[in-house]
Order: sequence, then C-alpha cells, then structure tokens
Amino acid sequence: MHAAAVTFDQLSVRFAGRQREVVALDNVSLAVPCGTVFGFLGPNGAGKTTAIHVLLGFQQASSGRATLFDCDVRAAIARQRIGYLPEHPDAYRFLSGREMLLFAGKLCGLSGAILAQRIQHVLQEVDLSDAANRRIATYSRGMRQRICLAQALLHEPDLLILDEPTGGLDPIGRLLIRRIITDWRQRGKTVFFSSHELSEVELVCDQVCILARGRIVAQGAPHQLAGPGERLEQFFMRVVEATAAQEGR
Amino acid sequence: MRTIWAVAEVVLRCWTRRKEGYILILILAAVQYGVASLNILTAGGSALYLYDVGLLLTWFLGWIIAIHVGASELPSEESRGTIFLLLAKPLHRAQLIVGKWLGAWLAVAACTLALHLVTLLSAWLVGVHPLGEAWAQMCLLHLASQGVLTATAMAISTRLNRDAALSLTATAALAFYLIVPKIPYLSHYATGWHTGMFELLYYALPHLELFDLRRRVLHGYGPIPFTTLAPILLYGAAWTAILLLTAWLAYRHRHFQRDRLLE
Repeated sequence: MHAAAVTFDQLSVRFAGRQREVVALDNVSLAVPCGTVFGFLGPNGAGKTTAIHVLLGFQQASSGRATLFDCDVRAAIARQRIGYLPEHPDAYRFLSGREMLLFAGKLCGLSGAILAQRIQHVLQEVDLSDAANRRIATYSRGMRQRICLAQALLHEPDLLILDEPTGGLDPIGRLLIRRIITDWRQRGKTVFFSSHELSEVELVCDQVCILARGRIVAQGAPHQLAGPGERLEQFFMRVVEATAAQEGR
Repeated sequence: MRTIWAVAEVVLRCWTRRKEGYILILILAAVQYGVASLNILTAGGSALYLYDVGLLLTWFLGWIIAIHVGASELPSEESRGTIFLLLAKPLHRAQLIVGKWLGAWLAVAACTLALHLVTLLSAWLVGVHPLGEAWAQMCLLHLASQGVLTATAMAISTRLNRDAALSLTATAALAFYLIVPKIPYLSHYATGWHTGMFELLYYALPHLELFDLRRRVLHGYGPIPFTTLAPILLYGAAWTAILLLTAWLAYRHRHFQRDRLLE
C-alpha cells in the first residue's frame, strides 16, 4: 500500500519567454494521501495545469520530480492506475460515444464481456446511455466533457486526475461530477482535481492546496484553512490577493 | 499487438467516415469521363492514352491521400487535445506511432484500390484489357510505395505542424520519384568529393521509381518475376521501418506545452 498517490518534490518549471523567463512552478512540494479527495486550487495562470502535465509526463520539469504511486509516470504500470480528464477535453468526432469508450478500454487492457459491462456502467454513471450510439460530433460541450470523463472512469483507476472537471457543465452536470467524486472516495480511491468552483471544492475535498504565481500559498483541510465564519472562497481571495500584493512590492 | 490494432482501428474508422477519399474517387471518375469524351484522345485507337492518363492520376492521387493522411494523424491529435487522453493511458509511444501508421496505411490502401478499380473499369469501357497478374503487381507496389510515403509524412509530422509536414513530404516525394533516379547523370557534372556526395545521396534516399509498374501494365509486358518483386517489397518494408523508427525517436521524449497546442 502506498502512502501517497501523488507527490511533487521541489518541482519547478520555467519557460523561456521572449523577454524574460516565466516561472510556472516554483519549488512546489506536496503529497496527496491515498484514498482522499484533494483539491488543487488557484487563479488562472497559477500553474495548476502545468503541474498536472508534469505529473503525467506531458511537460518536462526544470528541476525536482513528480511521481504517481512512487513510480515515474512514464512507467506504463503507473498509467494503468490513473484516469485523466483534461482541461478542455475533446474527443474523436467521427466515433460514437460507445466506440470511443471501446477504444479507451482496449488501451487499458480491457476486453470482451468485462469491457462491454464497464462501458454500460460508465455510460449510466455519466448519464449518456441514450446518446451512446450517436457520433460525438453531434454532442454538446457538456456531453463531450462527460464522455471524456467516462473514458477516465472506465478501467476503475486508483487515482482520478481531473483538470477543471466542471468547466462547461450546467448545474446538473456539476452535481453529477460531485456525485462521482464522492462515490469514488467511498470506494477508497483517490481523486486529485483542479477547480475554480470553490463552493464545490469545499463540499467534496478532504484537503486542498492553493497555488498562486507558481507557489503553494496554503495547504490543509478546507475547514481548518478558513477562519471562524469564513468561507473557503473568502480565504482563497485573501491569500491570493496577499500573494499578489507581496509580489508587487 | 492488441493496443496497436486498437489505435489502427480508430484511424481507419475515422478516415472511412470522412469525405476526402470518396471525393478523390469521384474526381478521378469525372476526369476519366471527361478525357474519354474528348475525341482527340479516343479517336484512332488511342484508348491507351485514356488508360495512361487514368493510371497517372490514380498514381498521384494515391500519393496525395497517403501524404495527407500520414501528415494529419499526429498533428490532429495535438490540435484536438486528444493526445492527452491517449498518452495518459498505458500506451507506449512506439505503439502509438505504429498503430497510427498501420491505420493510415490501411485507409490509404482501401482508397487507392478503389481508385485503381475506377481506372480499370474506365479502361475496360474503352476496350483496354490489362493483364491481371501485372495489374495486381502494380497495385501491390503502389501500396508499398504509399507505406513509405505515409511513414515519411508521419516522421516529419512528429516535429512539424500538419501544413508544414504536408508540403515537406510532398516535396520529398517528388524528389524521391523524379530527382533521386537522375542523380547518377547529375554526378557526371560534379568533380572531386562532390561526386561522392551525389553517390551517397543516391544510395541514402528512397527510390520511389522502383515501385512504378505503370508502363509495364500499359504496354502489356506481363508480370515481373517474383525474384524482382520480392526485393522491391522488402526494400519498401525496410524504408518504412527506418522511417517509423525515426518517427519514434523524434516523438519518444516530445513534450506537449498546453499553450502551444491551443494556439
């Protein structure tokens, strides 16, 4: 049993800009315990997606390292245990929802009756059973988001990485995501997700980490971080503004 | 192998549902109908001209579709952002490259065979009856050349965007077909170490002219012996393997920066 599903160890990412170097992540260290729902928060451009991309091996770290269940993400065994929903998900528009899930399942090593059963299950879970045989080109943005979520859930991964999962979803879609996250936690799985929806985060997360300008500015349980009578949203605004003011000095 | 086939199946499925291939087949049929209606070409037993034009069009349309499909697959994964879904799965990048190539080549092969059948039908209608075995060999070698071109386009597209990969592969294909076979003649005009350079280029670049049996079919020379056919097919397979290896080497440590993909 691993103690941490995700670890960032002094992770830094710098991009060479036209005039100056851009620091996307600056010495970020954190550990996401197994079986928890972990919220990764921050304003736009804070470095949340960059951190997730380093974690998944899409982006190279300038220094430090990121691991999944103590393994390098490039190891197929590590990727076998994760399900990922990207920030702006898109799908193969010439395929139907069911065909896309069939493809995702085959890539994860599922086949035959088990795969068919899992597809049926996740289609129900994301409420797309009726549209399963329609081409993805005919799906709305929210439906595309949900079919991409379904491919992440298909092989019952131990860790779900969701990058802005509620972006583009209506209130019903958001409720569905919240239900899935809660359900996943009850099954002892880990969920690591980035979001702007602080009210959602407050409801489902065991722990949160707030990132601002590439640095961790707060970390802990949502009810411990916010002061008495304070909402997470107010706390978030306070620390982000304080960081911005500090940087501006 | 299952994973490779899963990737190939999706490529094949997507391309069979797109319009490009069907449009090319219609264009070819329309052009052949147009050429057949011109008296200047069909008069005086010149039906062979029609077949010649048809084969030439089939040949180059086949190459165009091979380059188009080969150069589009990886860049479109990136522009759609589906590359993130794929690479987050337990899929090796070598499997992705081989699967993409296999799917692309199968889609191209299906379209090319349809193009050849349209041309064959037109030839039959104007009274040209090519020899079956030679025709089959010509199609087989055409498909082999498309394997090389699809792999070339894919290798180039690992580092360039779709449009750049398309133009560069098209230029390379013309050079491999028209200029590379002429290198020995050109080297006569070179002196000193330049001659060696020309010789090196001659052996280091693919020879697409080897795959072209159109003249043989057109003039009814009959099939080539197996001892000639097999080495050409092996040559094509070897070049395809080299190009896919190059594609993998260029792609295996490639990083994907979100902003660059979304731009």
